[in-house]
Amino acid sequence: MSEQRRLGVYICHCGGNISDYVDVEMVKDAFKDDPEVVVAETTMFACADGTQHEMIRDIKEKHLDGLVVASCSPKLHQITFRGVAKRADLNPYQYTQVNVREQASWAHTDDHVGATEKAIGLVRAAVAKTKLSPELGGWVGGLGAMFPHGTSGREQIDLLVAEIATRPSITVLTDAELVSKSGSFGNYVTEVRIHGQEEVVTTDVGTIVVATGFDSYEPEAGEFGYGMEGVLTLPEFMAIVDSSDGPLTYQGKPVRTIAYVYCVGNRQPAGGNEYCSKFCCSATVHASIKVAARDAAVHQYHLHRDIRTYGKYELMYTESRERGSVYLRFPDDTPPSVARTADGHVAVTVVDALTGNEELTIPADLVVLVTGMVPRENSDLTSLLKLPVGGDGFYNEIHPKLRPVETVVAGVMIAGACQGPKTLSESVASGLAAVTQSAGILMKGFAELDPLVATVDTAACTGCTTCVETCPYDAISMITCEGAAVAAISAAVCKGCGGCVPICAQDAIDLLGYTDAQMRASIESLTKEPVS
Amino acid sequence: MSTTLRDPREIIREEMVMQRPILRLLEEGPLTVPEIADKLGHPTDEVVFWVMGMRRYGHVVEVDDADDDGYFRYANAHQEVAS
Amino acid sequence: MDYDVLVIGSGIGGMESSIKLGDMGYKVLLVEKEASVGGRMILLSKVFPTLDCASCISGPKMSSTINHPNITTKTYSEVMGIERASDGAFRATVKEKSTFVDWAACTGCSDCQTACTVAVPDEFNSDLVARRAAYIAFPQAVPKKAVITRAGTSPCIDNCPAGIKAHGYVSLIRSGKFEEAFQLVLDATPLVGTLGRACYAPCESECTRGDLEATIPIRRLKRFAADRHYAEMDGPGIERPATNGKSVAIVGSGPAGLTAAWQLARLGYQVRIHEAEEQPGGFLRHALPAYRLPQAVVEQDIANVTALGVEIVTSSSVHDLEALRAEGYDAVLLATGTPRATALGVPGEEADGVLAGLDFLRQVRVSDAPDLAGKRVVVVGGGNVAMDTARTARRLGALEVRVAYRRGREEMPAHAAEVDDAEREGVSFEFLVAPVSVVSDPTGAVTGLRCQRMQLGQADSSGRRRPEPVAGSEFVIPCEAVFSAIGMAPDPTPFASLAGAESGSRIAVDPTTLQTEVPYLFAAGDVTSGATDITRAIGAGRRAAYMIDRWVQGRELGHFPALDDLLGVVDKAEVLARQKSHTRREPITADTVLSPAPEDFGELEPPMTEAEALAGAGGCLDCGICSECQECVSACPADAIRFDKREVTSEITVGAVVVSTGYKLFAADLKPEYGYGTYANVITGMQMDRLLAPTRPFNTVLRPGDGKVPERIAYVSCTGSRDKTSGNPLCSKVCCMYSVKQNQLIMGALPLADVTMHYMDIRAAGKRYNEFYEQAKDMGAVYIKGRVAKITEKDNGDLILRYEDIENGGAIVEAEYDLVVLAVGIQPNHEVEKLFTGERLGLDEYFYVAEPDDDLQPGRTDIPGVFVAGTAAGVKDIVDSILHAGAAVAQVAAHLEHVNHDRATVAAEVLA
Repeated sequence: MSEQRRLGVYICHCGGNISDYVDVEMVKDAFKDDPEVVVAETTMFACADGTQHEMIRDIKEKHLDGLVVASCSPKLHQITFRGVAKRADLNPYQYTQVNVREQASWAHTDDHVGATEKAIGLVRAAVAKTKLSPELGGWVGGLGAMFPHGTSGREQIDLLVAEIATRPSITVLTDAELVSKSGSFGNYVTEVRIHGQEEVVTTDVGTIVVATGFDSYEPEAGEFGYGMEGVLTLPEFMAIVDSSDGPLTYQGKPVRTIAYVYCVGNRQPAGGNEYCSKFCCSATVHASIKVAARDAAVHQYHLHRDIRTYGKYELMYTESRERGSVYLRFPDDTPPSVARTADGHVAVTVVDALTGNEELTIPADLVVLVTGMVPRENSDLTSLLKLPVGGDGFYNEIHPKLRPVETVVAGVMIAGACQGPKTLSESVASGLAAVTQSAGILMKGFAELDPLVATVDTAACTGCTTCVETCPYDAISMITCEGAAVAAISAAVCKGCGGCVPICAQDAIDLLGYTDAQMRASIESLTKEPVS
Repeated sequence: MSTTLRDPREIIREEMVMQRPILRLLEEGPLTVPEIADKLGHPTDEVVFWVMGMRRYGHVVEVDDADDDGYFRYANAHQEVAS
Repeated sequence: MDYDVLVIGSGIGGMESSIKLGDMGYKVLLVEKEASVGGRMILLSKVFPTLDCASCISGPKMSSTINHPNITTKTYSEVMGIERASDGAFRATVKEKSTFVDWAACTGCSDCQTACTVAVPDEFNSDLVARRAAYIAFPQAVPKKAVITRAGTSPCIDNCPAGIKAHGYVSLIRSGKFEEAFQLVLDATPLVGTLGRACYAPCESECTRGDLEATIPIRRLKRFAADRHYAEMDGPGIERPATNGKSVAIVGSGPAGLTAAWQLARLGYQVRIHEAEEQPGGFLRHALPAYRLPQAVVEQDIANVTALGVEIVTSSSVHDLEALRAEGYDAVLLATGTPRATALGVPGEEADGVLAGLDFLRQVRVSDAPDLAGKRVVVVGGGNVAMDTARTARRLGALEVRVAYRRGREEMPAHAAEVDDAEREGVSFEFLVAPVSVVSDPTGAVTGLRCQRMQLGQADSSGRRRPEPVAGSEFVIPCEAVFSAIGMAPDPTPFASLAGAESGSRIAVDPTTLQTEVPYLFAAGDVTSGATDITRAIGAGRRAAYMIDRWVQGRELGHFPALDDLLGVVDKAEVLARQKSHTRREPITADTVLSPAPEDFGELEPPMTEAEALAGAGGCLDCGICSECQECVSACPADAIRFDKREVTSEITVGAVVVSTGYKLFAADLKPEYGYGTYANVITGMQMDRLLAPTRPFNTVLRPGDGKVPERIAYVSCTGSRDKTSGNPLCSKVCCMYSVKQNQLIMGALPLADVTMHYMDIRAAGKRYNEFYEQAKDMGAVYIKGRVAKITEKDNGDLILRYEDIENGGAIVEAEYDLVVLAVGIQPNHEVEKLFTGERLGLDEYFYVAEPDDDLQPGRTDIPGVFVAGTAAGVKDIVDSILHAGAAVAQVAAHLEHVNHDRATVAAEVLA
């Protein structure tokens, strides 16, 4: 999520309906010291077409990411200003309407001072709420120009959100969590709890796509000097780069030398994160191009093990070097070290293979630890959906080559970085592939089930529920049959693992295709003839 | 091996003519590629094309494991081989 | 709308797209240019990082594709001319190439490929080993059906007037199948021995090898096969077929009549030939001299015909064709040739000593030759009959033989070889000379031929310059005999009143069906065309038999497939361009010994030895690829071979298109410093993958230079990638991983081998890829950073790699290996440009299919409704391709649903 919001606040005169009773200039002035309120204006008629155009212009030119309009009732113009946001490619749900007409000016026509205070209070509350408005967009929403095309991540997210807003078949629930799922693929019943609300939202869905993303690796204190002044992780560095357009500064001082230490938190020995995060070489190389484009005098040193700018990204690697970045390769078993220098800077010491394994010390204004993706902590969701997790901690697909978005839980797909580190375009592709997978299930309207599932002989079942607890897929539930509670196995959910069969004390469960009679006959045949 | 290689298409085409001389050589017993090349007076890379083409369509078959120098011996598959 | 979606290319991207679209309920047409679906993946050994067997995971996908109820798959087919219509739909042309096999009947048994006599490089094994012209792409091919590779008709077959499969029998001789070669010619005509001597070999004029050192000796090879056969047995060596109850009468036992009789007898007809002379054979016996065509050979050939029950009644002239028919025949064939020599037409030609050349030759053959000892002979004429007459006269003791011809040597219609041989046998020539009158003495005996000089004027209707007399140039050639050989014509007596005639004495026939105006009467050979040659007469006899059979059976006559419906002839330049170089072969020549004073009629041309025959046949370039030797036809238990199949083109309309045409691999010989194509033991990554695959071309991983098991193997990464000198600055993404994969597999397959990879960066970035790389290191593979600069070869085939050892001080090191694998990268498939007409499919600056917004709209191209899946859009590994295909499918579905939902509005948007 982006750190610093950029809100626009507009207080409407409403042609006197508000300004006759509320001092709108005072309300505006109340926000002049708020760094997150970038625009504060009063206007005669906020809803006028001309004013709407001005708002759109402000949003675009000043990169506003939130909008507050203090005017009349939302019943009148909430849709109007949401439209303004959409036309400016701003998430319409980052807009809050404050009713200072019906609730301040018209309610207190006899008390101008009080009405003004109330108006200020109401607008402050709206500003505070808007600042915390949940954002769609994940990590990308907070990024500026991204590789390879230099398109702003923020803008891409806004584009997508605007597209979502135009589709009535998409319902967005933010600040929300999946808390229960039952049923089988094609016929799931889900319950979603919205933060702060009592009641859950119950929905019937056919498939579930998990796109819970990643977390960024957080180095340990002292790991490659993390914790020292000037030592940043990759996201921290990106935020600095994206927060301005001019030459890079850090804490007020110009950045003259940057040292990048690659593979921090990745390609670790057995026991650690053995995997590669795939995107970070390209992201870092691209960042160095952005930095050099703004200030060709910056020295940039890339301390790496391999530069994995694959495919077309190789062109960025070439450009980065042409713009002056120096690449030093260090041996896998001799990583660089970061320390404070006598004069308070940070310096990186590295064994450089390209100069005959000489040890070089590079004093730098910034040391960027190129940190990758780690699986997001999501144990509740993981156990709720019974999502398999791989050795690297990311969700496991059924088959890493051929079925990259499906899981063993039918109808539950994984997309994006929660399956493994990937770039923006790879995430989008996997998301669309999950759509395709879902559509394949849902458009047919029916599915053919594997017949080799477990079945319960209800006459023999005593209703002890041991099987219900045993089933790892929650395929067994209790039903009432002729007045008695007996176990029932859903053929759509049952995976045919057979775990319930030996558990049943009454021998009431049989696995079709591997029935007790079949297994007995097999064993008898096996043991009948001596194996010579 | 330092003579210029002929075009593979040309070498492969000649398998049809070389099948019979190679099978005749193998009537005496299985031979390695260098041995066949030496007796035929053709470079070893050409013999590889011919022997492998003949193997593919069932005319020769490899016998035993490779020898210490790394070469397999190939036998005439149309003969009854007493191994 | 014929289909909802057209998917082009059936690699993993195309198959995945098709299956997912099919699952959604859309109707898909999947078009694939190879005979099997599966693309590149099916050819791999194992896939990274799971080391799944590529066949094992591809196979089910291929099977799902071909059996999916919503997918129609056309393999061995191509798409072209895709054009967007005004309503947003797409029209395209689908060309189903001919496999020449009936796939409904073919069981995939492989007997055809085992029997095939043409060996060509196997592209599915990266040219490491041969396949056959008749082949099944690979053992797991889906569909598993045979294909016959035919580039066209070979020029020799195309030029043969008798439709004989010259390339076929050359290929059979090359394979040592001499009897089969004889039988192949016999399929056309019984006159195998005759043609082996006397055919003028139009095939050899067109032989592509003729553009190199010399033509293949096609005619002499035919003689070789005939000699072999007749040494073993008399007669044709085939069973006499059951009779069909019908009968045909043939008048004339020359090459046309004999061939027609042969073909009709094979179809079960009862055939009787009426021959006016005392012996059968026509000009074969009565005109061609024995030194060119021995009697015994003619008799052997005729014995083929009689062995099938054909009756030849000699000394039997036929004048009344209707009466002949009334004897009870279902049809009659007239094949009486051109027995009438054209008279000189000059005063004095009744003198004693003036004879038509044809009559002279006939007299010699029936042992009634005039005595020419010591006489001077003038032969008038410039054709083959004139040469035969002159050389025969020499043998009969003529003192002097002069050929007088009214044009020049270049205009002589005789074969050049005949003219040369005549000259070497002491015949002299008087060019630009025409007879004026015959001079005789008071007893009426010839004493000379008065001639006048000619000069060449304008061209006449035949294209040759007309000779014009030079005034006042008359002179006399003293001689005792004048033989005229200036032309021959048919005898129109039998048919003059019955059927139409043209040019006075030729019988009029339909040129395709050879039927005359009288339905039961057909005519073939020189009686219809005037004098031609043996081979054309044979072709006419074949055609007539086919047409007679159809007419008698009450079927439409149509074309004669063996001559009229051949596949287009192959372009010779294209044939020669298939190889980078052609090694010179010593031409096989006849070395005929000619005497300047010949005395006997013994056969002049020596036969070929078996070694010469194999050397001669061994030079054949297989122009049409398939030689049409018919071995596959004999071998196929399902009777599935169909040489008459042709490509079928159809037009389709679809709602959307998915381009999944895949990639090409970098051609490693474009980096000459690495020695691919020059050093036998430098191979590409794809070739190594083939060597490691279960369906490998060798018995295990062996080096191609000498079949040795390699022990020190080097990998050179980034071959053709990250390389401006190769024109590709991009990284190909997959080569590091496939090399690491192969490293692991090699260490498993060859436990004693050392594997070293020379690399710039190891790009093992995807899920589980880095762990896979670490595992390879743990297994013992060595990774050395430093780009390889050059590879050179040692005498024993080992290679020396020169590189900078970056991690150990940067020294220049030379390391020795016995096998080098070049990790070749991915290149775009330019053929994708040819798919679209009208609106071009946009390509990016590296010639991959452009995706205008590859971040948020993967799979979309710049043509609305056209999508791209897989490596056609850029380098991808298998997982990337599957995800990309999934994304493209989502786009396709959205497009189709959008279009279906509101056609009119969307059409306007789509076109905007």
